[in-house]
Amino acid sequence: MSLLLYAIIDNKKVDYEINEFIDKLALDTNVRLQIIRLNNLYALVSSISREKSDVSRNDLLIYAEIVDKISEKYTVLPMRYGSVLDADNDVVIYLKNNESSFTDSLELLYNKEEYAVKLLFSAKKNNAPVKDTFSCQKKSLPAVLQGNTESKKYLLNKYENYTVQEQRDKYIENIKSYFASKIHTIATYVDFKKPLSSTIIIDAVILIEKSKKNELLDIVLKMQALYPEHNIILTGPWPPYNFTKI
Amino acid sequence: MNDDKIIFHAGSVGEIIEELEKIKPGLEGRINATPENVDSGLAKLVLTLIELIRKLMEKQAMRRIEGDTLTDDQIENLGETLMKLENKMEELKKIFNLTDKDLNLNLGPLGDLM
Repeated sequence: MSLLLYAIIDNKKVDYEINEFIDKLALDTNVRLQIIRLNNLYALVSSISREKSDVSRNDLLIYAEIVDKISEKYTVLPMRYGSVLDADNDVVIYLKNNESSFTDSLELLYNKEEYAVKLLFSAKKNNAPVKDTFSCQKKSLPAVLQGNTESKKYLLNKYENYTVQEQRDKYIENIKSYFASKIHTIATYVDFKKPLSSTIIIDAVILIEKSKKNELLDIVLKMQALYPEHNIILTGPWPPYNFTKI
Repeated sequence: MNDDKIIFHAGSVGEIIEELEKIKPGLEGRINATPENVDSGLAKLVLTLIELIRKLMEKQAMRRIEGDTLTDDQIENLGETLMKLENKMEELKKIFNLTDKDLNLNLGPLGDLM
């Protein structure tokens, strides 16, 4: 049997309820967590069969649910699925080798939550005029492209596409700057991710103090009012997966 | 994602799902080289890098056009060169049975290459 690591918590911030919490979690998820300690750090682990090489979607969901429930209760450093160590002593060595950075990270994460904001292009909502009509904002064409040769026609087409893309990038940058200026007033950390597709305008993860949730929601609502042609999605709170290395 | 994790969203849930479906990160953009498909895997990787360089050249050319620093002859040469490059890429894509969508790489947390 090996040990599957879920999360690391700081026992200075843990009260006597942890055993009660573990009992309840076992009832909800059928997974019995164990605690392995090193000084102030607790690693929350469960036994896992080494032979288990096939991972189902359900395994991942249960793992995520457990990490989520731990993070609702305590300040955590969440692990990714697949953090497997052979024995208790390996976990202790792992904690020992990283004790100072884990302690510092937990201190920074204390009493904070992660949220995700996505702002999507959407041409369907409310029949509102979509600002993504960049082709209407073409710059005047350079004189050097005027002419009827194949080369010039080819370059003219490329140049028109280029200017449309430039307008689009500028538009996205303006929205992003506006959002950043607002979000930085309440967030401890913000990470703007590179959008995974052209559908996304903003893909951001935000770490805020728990007490600032309503202020975050207020910013999102104002953004939505300002850009009714786009869809904003606010999700969370999540375990601070994106801020474990701060 | 649990519904209780969605604090706010605009539009219908169906529309949101449809928008998110378009994102589809994951395995599509990764090099999947096996002993059986190593040739096409390598071709995909090489053509992706060539396509990246071609697009960078194209963008730089557009900037020079925008800056109005090119003569008529240079414009003719530039147009012909870019056109031939694009045609050559189309030929290579056909040879290796690749589409525009294939010519990208998913760089994990860094997003797509192009």
